[in-house]
Amino acid sequence: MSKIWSFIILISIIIAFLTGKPDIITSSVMSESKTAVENIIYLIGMMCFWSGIFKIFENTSLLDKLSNKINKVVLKFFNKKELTEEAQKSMALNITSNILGLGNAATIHGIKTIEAMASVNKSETPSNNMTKFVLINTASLQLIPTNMIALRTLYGSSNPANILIPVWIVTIISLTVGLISISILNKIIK
Amino acid sequence: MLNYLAVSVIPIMIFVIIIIGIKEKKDVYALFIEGVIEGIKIVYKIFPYVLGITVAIGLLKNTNALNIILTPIIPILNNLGVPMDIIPLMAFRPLSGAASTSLVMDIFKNCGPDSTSGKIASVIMGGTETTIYTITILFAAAKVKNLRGTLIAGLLADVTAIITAIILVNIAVI
Repeated sequence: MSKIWSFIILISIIIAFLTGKPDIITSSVMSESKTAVENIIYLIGMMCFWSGIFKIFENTSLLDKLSNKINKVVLKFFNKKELTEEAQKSMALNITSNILGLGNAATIHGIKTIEAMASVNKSETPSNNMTKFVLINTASLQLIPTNMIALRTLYGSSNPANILIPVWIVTIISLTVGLISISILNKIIK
Repeated sequence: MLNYLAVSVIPIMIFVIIIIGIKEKKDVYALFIEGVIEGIKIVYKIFPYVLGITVAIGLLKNTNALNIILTPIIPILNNLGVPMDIIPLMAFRPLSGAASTSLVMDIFKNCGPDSTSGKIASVIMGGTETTIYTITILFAAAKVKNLRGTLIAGLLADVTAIITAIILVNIAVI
C-alpha cells in the first residue's frame, strides 16, 4: 500500500512538471483535502446510524438461531474431522454475521474460528479447511448491502436499491469461481 | 413490484430489528447509542486513509497522469464498456475498504449514482470484499506465514466479480 501510494503521488508530481503545470499540485492538494473532509462528513451520520441499528441486532438471539440453521449447509464445504466443535460454532456465527452485514461480529467470530483451526493444524502452513474459510470471508456474502444503498440514496439516486439483484448475481458467480479455484489450488500448492 | 420490494428492504430491516429487540426486552435505545459511539470511532479511524487516497487519486486525475498512464489501453477499455472512472476503484477494492468507499463517493459526486460508472461501482462494492485485507487479518490471527492458494483464488473471484458487474450494467440489468 505504501509503495502504491508513494508511486501515485510521485508520478503525478513528475507529470505535472513535464506538462508544465506544477501549480496544479498545490491547488489539487487543497481542493482534494476539502473533498475528503466533505466525503467523511457525508459518511459519519449514515455509518453511525447503521452501526447503532446493527448493535441492537447483534444483541438479539436471532444471530444464534440463524447460525444453527446455516451450520449444516456450511459444514458440507469443509473436512469435518479436522473441525473442533468450537470452530464449527464460531464459523457458523461468522458466516451468519457476514450474510446479515454485521461487520464487527463477523470479524470477531472469524478470528475465533481461524484460531481454533490453527490450534488443531499447528503449522505455519494453513490446512485446506483454513484456506477455504479465509476464501469465503474474502467474498461479500452480505445479503443486503445497506451501506451502498444508503450511500446511493445520499447522492440522490432515483432507485438506490436496484443494485440488489446484480449484487446477488455477482456474489454467487464470484464465490463459485473462488471456491472452485481454491479446491484446485489446494491440491496444487501444498 | 420488484422495485417496491427493493425500496422497502431498508425500512423493513430497521423495523424488524427494533421489534425483535423490544420483544427480547433489550434496552434498544442504549444499544443503539453504544453502536453509534463505535461508529464514530470507526469514522475517526478511517479518515486518515480517506484523506490519503482522495488526495493521491485527485492528483493523479487533475494532473492528467491517469490519462497518460492509461493511454495505451483506453481504446480497449472503451470497447469493453469499462468507464475510465472506475479504474482506480478496481485497483483499490481488494486493498482497503476506506479507500474504495472514498473512490465510490468520488464517482457518485462526479458522475452520479445512476450513471454507468455509478452503477458499476455500486455493484462492485456490494459484491466484493477487501480481499487482501481480510486474508492478512485472518492469517495473522492464525500465525500463518504461507498463504498457499488463497490470494490467487481470492483475487480470481474479485476479477470475476468486476467483470460480471460490468457485463450486468452494460446489458442494462439495472
